[in-house]
Amino acid sequence: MSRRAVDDTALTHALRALAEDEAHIEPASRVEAALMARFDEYRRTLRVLHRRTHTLVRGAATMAAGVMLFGAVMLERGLAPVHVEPPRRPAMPPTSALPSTSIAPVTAAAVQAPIESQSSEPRSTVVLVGGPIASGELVQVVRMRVDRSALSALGITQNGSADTVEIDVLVGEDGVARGLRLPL
Amino acid sequence: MREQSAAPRPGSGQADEDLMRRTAQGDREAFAAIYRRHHALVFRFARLMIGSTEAAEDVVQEVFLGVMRSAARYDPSRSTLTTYLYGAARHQVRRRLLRDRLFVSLDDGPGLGQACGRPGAGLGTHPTSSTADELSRQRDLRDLRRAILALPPRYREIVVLCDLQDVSYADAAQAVGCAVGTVRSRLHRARQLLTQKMQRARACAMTPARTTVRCEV
Repeated sequence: MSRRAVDDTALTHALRALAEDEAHIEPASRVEAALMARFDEYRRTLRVLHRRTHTLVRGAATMAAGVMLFGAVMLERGLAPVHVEPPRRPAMPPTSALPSTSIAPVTAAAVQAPIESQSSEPRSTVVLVGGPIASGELVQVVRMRVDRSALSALGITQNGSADTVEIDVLVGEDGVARGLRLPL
Repeated sequence: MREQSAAPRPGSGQADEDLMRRTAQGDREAFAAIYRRHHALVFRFARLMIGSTEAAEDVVQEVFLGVMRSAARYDPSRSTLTTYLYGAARHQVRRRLLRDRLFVSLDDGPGLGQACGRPGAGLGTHPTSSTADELSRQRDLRDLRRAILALPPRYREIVVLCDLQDVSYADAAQAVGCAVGTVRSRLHRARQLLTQKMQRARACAMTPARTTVRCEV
């Protein structure tokens, strides 16, 4: 056996002895204790950070949703036709107590419609029942179904066989009826 | 060479991957299990590389703090946890060696020349050897430790991994970040250097001490 082989063998033995000697060596238990303490602290910090991030994200999402909703509402308002709020109408007196200039009693529910969506049938007869319509005054048109007899009581004759007639009531800014528009 | 594997060891509960996944989710017990399973190899590697028990404990702490922080990023398909830990320990050891190179050690430090930490270790505890044999054995181990510490780090880490920690060449290459052939050549060179150093140490030890002559009056 050569000298080199002997040296190699001796070194191998020595290394094995050293490995065996080192195999029993352990770090102090305080290392584990310190590590676990750091782990707990780290998790706590991480949890707080996570919670903060979660709150932040949720707040940002809520804000974004609010802004979107507000934008949508504003857009809707900007695009929609201007809706004129009908003025508060005075309580309708009973038929028998109606003055000659007031609107006939309504037999069915009144149906409001915007001016643009008025009926397609020709309506040209306008009967003034209140004060004159001032120039530039905003007038609201309220469509009503009125008994034919009520029209007759007002002195308005209307051709037709139906019991009820659909008329347009022109309501002024003060809420008082100014006129009736009747179908031909 | 013993192959390292990520499979659960006999008697050990879950695989390393599961423990790492649970650690990433904040499971304290999983982290403790990883530490208890792997702390010894990291500690021994660091101790043999640096030559100081305290420094090795610091390295262990840093390595496992890294595991705690980056458990979610651990990819078991890239390497086993053992290799990952060796790589992290090597990184920490290199940093420490670089930082401490300006300091000169005044002595060997605790635990270098003795089998520290082993209960009952020391003179006269070897059941089959005499005190003189045990002394000689301790001296040889001390010389070998010194010789290993005197090796350049690139050779030292290979000797520690392959010869003292029984890591396979492939795993050592992965931990060190080089080819398997490089590991072989470095190990060969490291053994040559170690042999030379040991022979030199033995020659120094065998040099007869200066004789003291008592003057007769």
